[in-house]
Amino acid sequence: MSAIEFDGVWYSYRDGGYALSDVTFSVKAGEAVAIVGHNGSGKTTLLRHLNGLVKPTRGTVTILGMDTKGISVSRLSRSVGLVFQNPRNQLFAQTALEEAAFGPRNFKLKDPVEAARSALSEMRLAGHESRSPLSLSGGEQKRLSIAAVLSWSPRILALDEPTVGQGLHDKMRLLGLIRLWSSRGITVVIASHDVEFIWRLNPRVIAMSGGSIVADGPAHDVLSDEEAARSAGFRPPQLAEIGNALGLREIPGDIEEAADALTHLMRGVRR
Amino acid sequence: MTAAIRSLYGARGNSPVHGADPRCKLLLSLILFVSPLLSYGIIPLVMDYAIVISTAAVGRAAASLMKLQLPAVGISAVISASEMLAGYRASVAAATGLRFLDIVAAASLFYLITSVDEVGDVLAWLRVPREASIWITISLRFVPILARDLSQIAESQSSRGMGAGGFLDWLRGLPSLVTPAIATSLIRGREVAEALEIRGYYAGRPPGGGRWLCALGIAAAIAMTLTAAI
Amino acid sequence: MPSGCARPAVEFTKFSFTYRGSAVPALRDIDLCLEAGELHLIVGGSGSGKTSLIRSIIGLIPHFYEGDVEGDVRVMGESVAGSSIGDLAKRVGYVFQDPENQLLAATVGRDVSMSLEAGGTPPDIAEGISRGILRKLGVDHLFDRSPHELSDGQRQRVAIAGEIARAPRILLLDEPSSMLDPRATAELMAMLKELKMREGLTMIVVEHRLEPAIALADNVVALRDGGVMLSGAPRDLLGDWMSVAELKSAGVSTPPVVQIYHSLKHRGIDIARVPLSVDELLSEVRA
Repeated sequence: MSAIEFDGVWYSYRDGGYALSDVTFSVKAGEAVAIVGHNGSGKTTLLRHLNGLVKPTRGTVTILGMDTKGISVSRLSRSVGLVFQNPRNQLFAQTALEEAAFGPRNFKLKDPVEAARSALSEMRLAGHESRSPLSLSGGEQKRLSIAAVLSWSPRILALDEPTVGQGLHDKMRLLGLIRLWSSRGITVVIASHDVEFIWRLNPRVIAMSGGSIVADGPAHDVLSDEEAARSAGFRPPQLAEIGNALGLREIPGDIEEAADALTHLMRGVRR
Repeated sequence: MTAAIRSLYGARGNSPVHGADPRCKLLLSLILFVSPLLSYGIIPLVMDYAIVISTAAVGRAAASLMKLQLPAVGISAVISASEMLAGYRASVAAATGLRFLDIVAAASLFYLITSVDEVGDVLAWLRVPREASIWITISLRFVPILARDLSQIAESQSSRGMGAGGFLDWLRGLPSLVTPAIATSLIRGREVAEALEIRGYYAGRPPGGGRWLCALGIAAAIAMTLTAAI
Repeated sequence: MPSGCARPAVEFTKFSFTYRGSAVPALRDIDLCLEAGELHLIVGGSGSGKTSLIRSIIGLIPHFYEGDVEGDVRVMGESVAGSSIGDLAKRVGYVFQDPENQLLAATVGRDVSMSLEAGGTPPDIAEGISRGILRKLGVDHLFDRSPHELSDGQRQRVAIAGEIARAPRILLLDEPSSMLDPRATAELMAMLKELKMREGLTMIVVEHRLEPAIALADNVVALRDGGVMLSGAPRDLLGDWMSVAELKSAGVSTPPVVQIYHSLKHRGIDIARVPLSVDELLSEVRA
């Protein structure tokens, strides 16, 4: 059984126009998927379908075997944790611990404080438990907003632009965490513009444009696809651009491979 | 977004009423707003309501107006009922309820047929000092933004299970709506104050972020009321 | 570290600032000279002091945000401490990270005229000037629209229009790409480049990462913990292995092409010019 299934989903705005046109795809449990696309491509709308904030105008969205149409957001959220882009629109508690415990309390978990504590620790906020969320730095607030969703252990995690505003180290740690979550069987869906990050993470990538899916496949294939890049409004990561320009059969996977390819080229020319 | 917000801030409506001089619209709305307060009989109150609805109809906004009335009808019924329980005559109780309905209708009408910059024009015509006028138009301008913030906050919190346990649970979670709403409004208020300083208002005067927080507070209150009316 | 520059737009001399009520200085001992007519990229993570730095240029520090000031900031030769925000704003434009909060009027057109009218320009002339500026930025069709109906990219252009309406010589942009998708970011960068070239504006762009502004920057200043960690021309900085390592430790990643440049260098292959884009790298390699 797939964790997420979109079957012929259309979503229309009230004043006409479609945010999603005939979107069909499915995601297996434990899979990591990145959704790329320009603003207005439908990727945010797609994410919002995952926890029922938005219900399809036509077609069906099935989450863990449940049709989202009959289920409230708060009920679906027990299984689908959606981390929004702007932490400022959700932080309210006196302490980071209380903030992370909010979800578990709402879902009547057995030990909300313990769940909160372990989520904070996973996001490297263990030392900040008693600090006020509003006093944390931007990067810390972002990590707190993720911890606040991890704390009730949803089986599906959806993250909207998780790397915006994050420094190099935090991004690398997030990358490691996403891989860890996948290995635990948690399905991870991220919407992101950060092609370099997605390249390194190397998940499945769904590229969207104008409400439709224009490409769906492994990151190294989709992100280096110039056609997909054009429609979905992203620039292929630099390594992919180099690979394409040099006509390499295999896109370099990292800096050293790229340097190898270029060395080869230059030494070849020299001879 | 409610019809009120969309019409006050969005595309201008296309009707003789919308095209009328904004001072006229303000005056009309004021009259319709104030007269219920001065009337005692049921008949004048019903007439007032009829005028509101017909103006709305000419403005092709009758449907939107009725949508805005729904919560008001409920409250109006509660008001009338409590007056009757308190011992007032039925006709008096009905009049009070109707009065409330009229006021809400007149206010809604105003929202529906006027736009924010027209409000600015009227204030200028009334020779309201520029500062106060800006204060008012900025507050109005930020109502949809604060309403949007509020709906994002509500979405974030319900996505964390707020209300999963029923209405009482939801009530207990209210601070999770109010606190971020206030925090966001304060931040916006501060930045608006900065923007005004930069544009040369308050040149030479000591920094007064407080005024703008106040303005945004009012805007926030309006936004919350409007959103609650959804 | 920095020597005086030939034509300073902004000069910081041993400038430190601590917000009232804070124990830790937001800016420490800043010595900077920003040349007029150039695009300066100020980069740093959260808490590095980049927002405080630009506030100190427009005068929000110390006139709006009170606190302990040491040292001196000069904008076009005039002391910031000695001028009012209103005066400084005549020479400096400031585009907020969230432009929504600086679009104050009910319509786009009125917003752009607002600054002009506050300065005494009669409304009808102000309207003409507004239309002209909006046309220059490609958004004159939005003249009657309400700011909250606009897309992020459009809102940003309108905010920029509102700021350049005052004909400033310096334009500050706070994390302009943070709300935009790659397409809109590329358009913004092209617009900034044009503004710099056509109007000779000094641009000061604050970001938390090097891309995409690095390709346009004449000068890069990296901040860390409220102080200047590094500064210099992009190719000089990124061509220096130690600087790249320092940037990395401060959480600022370098573009893959620069990393490739260094990897090739380590193998004994020296490319003439530090590449700031894939095209540059490839043309160097193919040469």
